[in-house]
Amino acid sequence: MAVLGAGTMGSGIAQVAAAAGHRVVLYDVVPGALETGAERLRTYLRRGAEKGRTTAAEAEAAIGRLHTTSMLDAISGADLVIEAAPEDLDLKTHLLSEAEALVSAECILATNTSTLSVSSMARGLRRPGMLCGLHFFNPAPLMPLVEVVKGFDTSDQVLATAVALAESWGKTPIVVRDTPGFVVNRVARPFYGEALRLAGDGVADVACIDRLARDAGFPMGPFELMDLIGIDVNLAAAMAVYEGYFQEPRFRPHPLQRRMVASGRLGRKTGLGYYTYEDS
Amino acid sequence: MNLGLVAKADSRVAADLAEVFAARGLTVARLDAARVAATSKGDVPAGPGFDAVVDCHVVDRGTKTRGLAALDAALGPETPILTCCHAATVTSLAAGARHPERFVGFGLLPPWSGRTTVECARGLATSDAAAEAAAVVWHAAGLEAVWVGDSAGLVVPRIVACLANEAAFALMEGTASPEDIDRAMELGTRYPRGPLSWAVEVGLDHIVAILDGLSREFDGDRYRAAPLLRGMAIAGGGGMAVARPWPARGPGGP
Repeated sequence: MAVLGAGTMGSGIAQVAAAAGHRVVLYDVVPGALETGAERLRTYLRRGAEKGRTTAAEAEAAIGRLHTTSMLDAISGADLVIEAAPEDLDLKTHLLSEAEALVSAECILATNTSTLSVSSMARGLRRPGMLCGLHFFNPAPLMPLVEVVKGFDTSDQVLATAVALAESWGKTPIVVRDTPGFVVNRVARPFYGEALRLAGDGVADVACIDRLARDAGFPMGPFELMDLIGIDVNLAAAMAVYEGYFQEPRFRPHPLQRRMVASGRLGRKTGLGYYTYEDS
Repeated sequence: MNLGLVAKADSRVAADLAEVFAARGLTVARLDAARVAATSKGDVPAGPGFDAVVDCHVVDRGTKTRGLAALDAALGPETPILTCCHAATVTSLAAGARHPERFVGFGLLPPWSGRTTVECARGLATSDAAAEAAAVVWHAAGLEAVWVGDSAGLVVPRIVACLANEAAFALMEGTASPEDIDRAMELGTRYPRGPLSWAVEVGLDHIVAILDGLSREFDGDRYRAAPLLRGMAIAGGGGMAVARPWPARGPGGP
């Protein structure tokens, strides 16, 4: 199989597939991204062996199944292509169309998009029925859920094959319709949106809301979770669902979150978010 | 400590609280919400007065406000009324009372098990004495009072009701099956339970009441209940008695 894009998600998906026994071609054209992604994969696999999740031999065998390339035609023998390029519809559509021209008619094409329409990406394809969404969660090797997205044209057989494949990788796939945010990113919106509104309206402060959420059983409160995910990443998802539903009021993002991002307060990765992180 | 507990017979909030109070050795007299609302003196039994009355009723606004008026008439002014403010602000619940200063709001969305805190809110008229008395009651029950602003649904009940509502909208649109929606939120974001099954556990009419309370407070469309959720609440009452409450919708067709 092939993974297009060696960023965090792409290298994570490649790691899952390689560990599951697949020969994986990892593709990227951004200078340095390919080697960074490959090194990230090698590091995590070896670390997993050190922690006893696999044997050292299994880790090295998985690493041996990874091949990196900046030449797209290296994917021609793939049975499955997963694109994990940046969230840009034109970029993804073009990339999938180019990939389709290089692979066999039986090759399944999948997109890891979290915010864009799978159906719209099929427009550029000669075999739109072969496209589905395979939405992994970060970090892909650890998070069990995969949303298998049925676009307008996705064939039932491709869907079934994608589900079976995800299961063979030890994941829990769910089949979802092609709607903005699919299930998780859409249903989760109030966890952040209502929390922001409560803080913005002065009903409770950030730490209090997080504490109450944890006491109710959530592993993390909404603000500490936004800091972990990246306030900018979370806002991008919020905007995508809001725009995807034509400014449905339930999804309206909050000015506090936009101000946080605009001021460079992105959470843990910048040392400053809703909380301060002195060890970043 | 001698408490009165006002609720409908099938109230999950009351069931959880009765368990909390019993575990801590507090004496609790259960008062039926409908009977309290139907009498001018709140069906308050004769005998030693209550140290506080805990009003758990949420769903039927008319029953709740009549019940609070009756309690306000029957109880001495020093007896605090701790009222569940999932579906209305404390200020609005106390409005028109002879002694609005005795009303203290609380929020405690089921299931209670494992909780160490209870959200509390003061209405605009709530006295310091009543607030302190409420904190004493909760402390006796083993719960720490966490004070938040006066808003329908407070913090957690509001967030969970909105999560359940969003899950209901997703189900209505055929985004995924109800089981998969719950599974996705448990595995994808590690929620303690799926929003659809959580809503059934709380009571669908209770969830709708929280959303309606927010709609009244904020106006506009943001908190309107998903038609599927409202329909099921109307059809099934609390929803808890329904064996398979959520319809099996799946992503078939465009």
